[in-house]
Parts: sequence; structure tokens; C-alpha cells
Amino acid sequence: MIKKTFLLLSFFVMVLMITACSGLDRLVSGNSADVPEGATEIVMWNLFAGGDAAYMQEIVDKYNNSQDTYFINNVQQEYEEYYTKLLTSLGAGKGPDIAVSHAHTLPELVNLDVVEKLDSLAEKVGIDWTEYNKNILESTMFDNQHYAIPIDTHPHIFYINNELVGEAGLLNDDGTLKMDKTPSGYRDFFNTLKNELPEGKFPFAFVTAGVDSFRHWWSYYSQLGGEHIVTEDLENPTYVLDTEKAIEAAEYMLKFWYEDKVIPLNLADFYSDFQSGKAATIATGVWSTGTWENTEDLEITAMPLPNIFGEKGAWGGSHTLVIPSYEETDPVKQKGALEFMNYAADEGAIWAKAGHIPAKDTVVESEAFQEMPYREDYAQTADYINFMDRTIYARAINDIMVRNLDLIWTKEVTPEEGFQLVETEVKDLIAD
Amino acid sequence: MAAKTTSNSRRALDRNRDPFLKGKITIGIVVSILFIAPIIWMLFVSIKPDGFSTSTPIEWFLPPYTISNYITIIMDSLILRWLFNSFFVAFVTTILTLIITSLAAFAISQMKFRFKNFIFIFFLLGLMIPGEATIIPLYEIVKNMNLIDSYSGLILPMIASPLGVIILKSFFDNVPKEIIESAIIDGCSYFKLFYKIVLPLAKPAIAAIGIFTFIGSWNNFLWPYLSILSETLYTLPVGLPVFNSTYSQAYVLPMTANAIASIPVIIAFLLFEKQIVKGISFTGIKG
Amino acid sequence: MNKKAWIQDMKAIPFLLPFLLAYLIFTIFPIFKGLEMSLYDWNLVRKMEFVGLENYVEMVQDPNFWQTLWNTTLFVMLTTPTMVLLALGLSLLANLNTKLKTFFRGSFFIPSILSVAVISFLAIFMLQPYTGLVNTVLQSIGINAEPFWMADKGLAWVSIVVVTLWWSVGFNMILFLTSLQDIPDALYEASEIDGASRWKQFRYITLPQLIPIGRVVILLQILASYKVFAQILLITGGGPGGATRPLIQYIYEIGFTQNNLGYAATMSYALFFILLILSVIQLKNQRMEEK
Repeated sequence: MIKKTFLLLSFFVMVLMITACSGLDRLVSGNSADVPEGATEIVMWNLFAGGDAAYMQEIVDKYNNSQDTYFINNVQQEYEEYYTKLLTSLGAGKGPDIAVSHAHTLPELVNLDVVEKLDSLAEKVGIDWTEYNKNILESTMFDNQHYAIPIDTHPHIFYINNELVGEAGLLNDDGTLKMDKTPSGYRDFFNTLKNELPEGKFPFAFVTAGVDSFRHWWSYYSQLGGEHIVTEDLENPTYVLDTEKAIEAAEYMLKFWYEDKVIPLNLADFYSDFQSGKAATIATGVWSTGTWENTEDLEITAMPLPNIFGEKGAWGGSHTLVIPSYEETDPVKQKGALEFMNYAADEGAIWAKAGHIPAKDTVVESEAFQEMPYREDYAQTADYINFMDRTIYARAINDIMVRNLDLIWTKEVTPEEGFQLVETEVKDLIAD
Repeated sequence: MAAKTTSNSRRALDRNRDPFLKGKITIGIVVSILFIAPIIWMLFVSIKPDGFSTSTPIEWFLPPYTISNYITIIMDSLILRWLFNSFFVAFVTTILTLIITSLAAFAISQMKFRFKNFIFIFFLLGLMIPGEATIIPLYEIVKNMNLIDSYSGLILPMIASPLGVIILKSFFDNVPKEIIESAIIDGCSYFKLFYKIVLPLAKPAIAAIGIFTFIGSWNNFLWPYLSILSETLYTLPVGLPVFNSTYSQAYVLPMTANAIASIPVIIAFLLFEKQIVKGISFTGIKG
Repeated sequence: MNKKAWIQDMKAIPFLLPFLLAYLIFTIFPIFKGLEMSLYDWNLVRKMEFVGLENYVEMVQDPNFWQTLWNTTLFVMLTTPTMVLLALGLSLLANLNTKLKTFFRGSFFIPSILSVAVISFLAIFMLQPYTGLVNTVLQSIGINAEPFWMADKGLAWVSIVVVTLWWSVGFNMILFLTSLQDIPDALYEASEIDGASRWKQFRYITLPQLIPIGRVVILLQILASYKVFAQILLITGGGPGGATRPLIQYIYEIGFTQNNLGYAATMSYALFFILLILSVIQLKNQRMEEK
């Protein structure tokens, strides 16, 4: 026993040695990067993954190299648990100096009093609010006070694999789709694909359950003229989901899986199905544009999700940057934080490489952005995005919608029953 | 010794009498293989070239093999760091648990003081308090102590094990009175008595509790999941899912990460199988 | 006299104090802190206003509380009998008279030492549709089906139960095995002389001797299963649509995701009392065994 314990301990020491030596001391010291002498470290938390994360890092690196007063330490957090971690860390006083927040989460953060007002600081830093897109900026303001710097809008759009859709004979010479923009025309488009595609390929890469299905449903609900789930009262909203339209949108989506069978059920990873050329089309957020563009042998076209129900509508969100508030504030850090935030918005052209639509009008009008393929085509979507309802309950409502819609998609309940559940849960949530 | 003779006689009996022994052994082999198949699969996938995928299951087990995944994971991910954290936290938790429980058990077993029975019953109550059900207030308490996101915050709440005190007390109770009395007559202090005489006699109980605590800490999920914010302080159960979630269809690299997380414990198990089995039957039956 | 007692007390204090402190702060105090929290509107950032019993009223009326409590109970009902039978069966195999018995015991136990993260991840990749190991094996042996192990409500439960059994049966198997080995051979030898068949030996000697440990295993299993959280969170995430979400996951979501620690503490109390009752039963049973 003693001999074995010794063996195990020496193994333990060996692991320690490997960890500590061989240039891996980053593992032991933590991933706090090397802060240059004299620079103030500013910790930023983001929730990005994949291409998004790489382009945000590019902006951070560019900023860090452009000056030596501040050093932005960009920490990538897991998307799923991001807000839980953020609120937990703020509660424990161990949060970051800059945090990414979706616009729809701002009401909750402002209501909890955990983010700083930016107005007086913005004056010192010299931020010109008129450079920002007015619609996006408004979603970051409460009681006429600025609480965040928006960096983008990101609608859900539609991508096609040019080769597969072309071979199925569904592309016009000018690159547009041979498709009637009607509910039946859209289905016809997929059914034709199903018949024409070679063995092993399928028409439409999409998830069966999860947040993407909710967003897709939200786009159709908006196109049908649906506007809200609850009224946009920050603290005391009322439930106003248009159940009829909600059901119609859900029933339409169900046909893709169960009637037309153009989406295989329960795909494990719909992104890789599209990326590897197994699927002819995909519907997801603009943030994937950069990923597709950087994939060899993949020729895509990006376009707004077809408006098939009459009204124009799409799901979309907006990333913003906020300064969390603490009992003891550090004015130097806060100033540096805001300077970087404005810089990040200015560098929207880098951010747009990931696929996002920049939040500064000045960037959208810039040559750098205009020259990028597709962006201009889908940038128009930003004009008719139906943003999530602006209340402190937005995040919780999102969870309720996703969970109950999942029941509809997996046919555990009918759409009627599903929205009945939604109504009960949301009303219960906003009652207190 | 007794066990040996009985099993020998059993063997003789079985040979003579059990016509189905061969069939039962075959079932045993099949079930064993089913039990370890996922682990074997994991090890084989971890040495396949990155990006490998197949719909013919047998191909998972055929060459080509490579160890480059291991190098990639060790160099580019925090898996080793999490492995270290898990080891460190489990090790320190075990040591501290053993120290404080054996001290308390010794006092209750061998020393005279007022309210002794009351204190012992008070400790016994702890057996009935489920940690999972007090985790929300525990979080708030640890937060107020400013220990969220720290090793201390991971370790300290886990060391007060009433079960350890109870098992050790019953063990200490069995130390022959004469030994203790003669030690006291020799002018031995309580601490010396504890350290030099009683503790060595309780080795089997210490080993059992130690193994039990170590495995418990190694597999603890809920508490580190709540109390750790920094990637660098994650333990394996919390860090691995985060790592895995960045992959969903690529099998190979995440499987390598899981293999790296598992190989040390598999080795430890093979080395200590006997002690682990003994420890479980010991603590399991007791409580 | 009194002074002497006082000196004795002082001597005991250094031995008792370290444990007592940790025990008071991290085991006892949370019970009272939880009571306080359940009476307040309390979030991750700060304590808000006093709300009296409002959280308790909300709990009783919350369909998700009852749903998740039911899910946990269902998990207990599904895993307990299967676990006991499987553990018993495996222990009999591991007790066979063969040189392979150590191998059997090791194989049955080894999944238990793997981290919950590892076994959950293995489960996800094995049960994944289209490319997962289980479905491809099924198809390669000619079963032309594509079961959705995690997206179908019934199959999701099957998956969770099977994975849990595979992962944690080793522990109970060892408890049974220890008891099997403790059965005196004299009993078998005596029945041998009476000409009892092997089945009769099993039925009238082995099984009755295993009843005490069986009771322990059942109670330990119920107690442990009411605490289920990690493998469900990691394998199905509580899905599809909350169909497998256990109570602890709901408590976590309310407290941390939805930022309502007060209500989470309230529901923890419900769990507390369930587990308390089970522990008392279990301890009573233990006392009985010892006598």
C-alpha cells in the first residue's frame, strides 16, 4: 500500500512538473496574459465562440498594440452559462471591468443596478453618440441615460450552398433563388431540393430543439404580423402573444420536419452539416458568415430569410459593451474601459468580418464595410428586425419559450397546448 | 485465512455441482465487455487522427493511430490544469477531513469533558443534513466570507464529515483500555496518545474514510459548478463539459480530453483496487 | 472538583474545535441562513425586501416545482429496483468460482471511478443520432432504425437510467459481494447433504442472507437518487422541453440563471425535508441492522 501510494504521489508530482515546466506555466499562473509594464489591466468578459471570438480578439490585440496606457485582458466565457457567471461574479464583487451584454439583457442589468451610467464618463472620453445607429442606441438607453456601447446587430438570415442549390436548378443567372416568396413557394423550393439533391445530401440544415428553433419561429411570427410576447414595459409588462399567429408559425415549421421531411430530425450539429457540404441551406445568425467564408471548398450566398408571410420580419439581437459597477470604483480603469468600448465600435469593420452588422452608421457607410460580400444585402434586414421585448424578464421569457417550443417540435404537445403552457408560465413569471 | 479455506471448499463444491458454471462465466464475460466497451472505445477514439469520423463502428478500433491529439490537448487546453486542480482539491480535502474528524473522534472516544453526549448527538445530526439541500445558503455564506472562486472555498465546506467522526469513534472505542491506561500512567499527553498510539491502530478506518472522501471530492460537481468562476480554477467535472461543448460532432479531440482525465484514475484504481473495494464495503455498510 | 472538570474541558477543546467550527459554519449555519433567505426576495447581487411566506405560497402553486419534483421521483422509481437487481446479478457473477472473478469485479466497478463529466460525454457521443456509436452499431447489425435517444421523452429517460446504472452500479455491487462472501459455507454444506438443488440453495440460503444489505442498498439508492442532477444536466440538459429536468436543476436555474436565490432557498427546504425523512428512515434501519 505504501509503495503504491508513493507511486501515485510521484505520478502526481510528475503531472505537476509537466504542468509547471515546458513552457506551460501559463496553465499554472492562470490565463491572465502578460500585462506590459506600466499599463493598467482591464479585464473584459465576452460570450463569443468560434469566428466571433477570433475577430473580437483581433480588435483587442489591435487596441493593445495601438497604445500602452491600458491592456485589455479579453476572457472568453462559455456562452450557455454566461449571464449566470456574470451575475454571480458581480454579486461576489469579482467581476470584470468590461462585459459583453446582449441588448435584451440590459433592462435586467440596469434594474439590478450592476452597470454604470456612461454619460459623464463619455464626455471625458469624447464619445460622439450621433455616430451610432439611432435604433440600436435607443435600446441601450434608460431614462435618457446611456448604459452601454452597442457594437452590432445580428439578425437570423438564410445561407445557401451555391453548388448544391445550383445543381438542383434553383439558381437564376443573377444568383437569386428560383423561389416564390410565399409559404407554399418556400416549401416547394425545399421539396425540389429534396428530389434533386444527390444521395447523402439533404435540403435544410436546422436543429429540432433549442434556441435556434425559437428564433426561427420568431421570424415567421413577426412576418405574420406578430409583434410581442409581452408589452414593452420594463418592470410590469402584460402578456400579449398573438396566439393565433404563434400557432400558425409553429404549424408551418413543423411541416419541414414531419410532412415534407426536408430537415432530418434531431441533427447533432447542423453547423457542421452545412459546413461539410452535406446540407444545401441553413438558417442561422449572421455571425456564421465569417465561418462559411473561411471554409475551403464552400461557396455560399448569404441573404435575408425570405419574407414569405407578407410582412417583413426577422429575429435579431444586438451585442453591447457595459461597465459593471462595484462598491469601489477605479476611475482610471473605467476611463480606459470606455475608451476601448468606443474603439471596438469604431473597428466595426473587423467585427463585420465575422458577419455582424456594425452599430456605427459611420462604419456601415465606410468603404471597408461596403466592399465585403453579402453584408450590404443583409444589412437591410437590420431595418425590420423585430427585437425581443424590452423588459427585465427578457432572459427568463426566452428560456420559457425555448423549453415549451421544444415540446412542440418534438411533438410532445400540439402547438395549441404548447402556447397554453407558455401563457401560464409567462403570466406567472411577470405576476410578481 | 479463513476466507481462503472456505473459498477452496466452495470451489470443490462448485466443480462438482454447478452444471451451468461455464454458461454463467460466459455471461460474466459478455457483461464485463459491455461494461468496459465505452471506455475502450474512448481510448481508441483518442488515438485516431483528428477529424476522423465513420459510420462503420469497427473502424474506430483499426489503425492509423496517432498520439498527436494528446500533445494538442496538453499544450493548448487547460485540461492538465483542471486535472491538477481536481487532484489538489481532493488531496487537501481528504487530508483536512482526516485530521479534523480523527481529532474530534478521539476526544469523544477517549477524553472526559462536559456535554460530551450532547456534542456527539449534535454531530450525529449532521448525518441527516443533506448538503445538496443547503447549497443555496451555503453559497451565500461562502460569498460573504469572500471565498467564492478560490481553492479554500472549494475545500473548506467539504471537510466536516460527521460520518468520518462516527466511524473513527467506534474504531477508537475498540482500542484496548489497558494500552491507554498504561500510556497515561507513563505521563503520555493526550496528543501523544492520539498520535502515537490510537491513530496507528485505526489505519484501516483511516484508509477507508480517506478513499471515500477522495472519490467524493474527485466527483463533486454541484459545488464547484456553483462556486468557481475562473477557468483556471475549474475542476475536471466542471471544466470538461465546457471544453466539450465547443465540439459537437468532432469526436476525436474531446475524446482525447476525456481520456486524459480518466487515465490517471484508471491507473489509480488498478493499483488500489483492493483498498478501494474494502473502503467501500466498510463505509457503505456503516452509512 | 469543578476546577478539574474545567481543566478537562480545556484539554478537549483543541481536539474538538477544528471540526466543530467547520461543522457549525458549513453544515449547521446554512440551515438557518436558508430559512432567512426563503423569507426574502433575495438575488445574486443583494438581499431585497422581506416577503414573509410569499415564496412558500409560490412554490405550492408552481407547476414547474411539482413537475421537477415528479421527475426526480420518477428517476428514483426507475433506478432503484433496476439498480438493486442489476447490482445483485453482477455481484453473483463476480462471486463465481473462476479465475476471472477479479476481472469481473473490476469491469463492473471501473465506470464508477470516472468523472460524471466523462460518462456524460461518452453517453452523448454514443447516443447521438446518425453518427453515434449505438445507432451505427444497431444499423450495422441490420436494425434499420434511427432512435432519437435524447430527443424522445421516453427514450431520454431510458438513456439516463441506463447510463446511471452503468456508471454507479459498481458501488452497490460491492456491497452485495461483501455480503455474499460473508455467508458461512457451513450453510451450503449442510443443504448439500440434504440434497438441495442449486436453485433452492439460492432461494433459501443466499437470498435471505442478502436481505439486510439489500435494505441498505435500497435506502442508500433512494437517498442518492433524490439528489440527481449532474448527469441529467450534462446529458439531456433536462430536455426534451423540461421532461427530464430534476428538482435540483430547477433550483439551480431559479437561483442562478433566473437570479432568484430566495425562491431557490425555499424549494431547497422542500428537498431538505424529503431527504431528512429518508435519512431518518435509513438511520433507523441501520440501527436495526446493528442489533
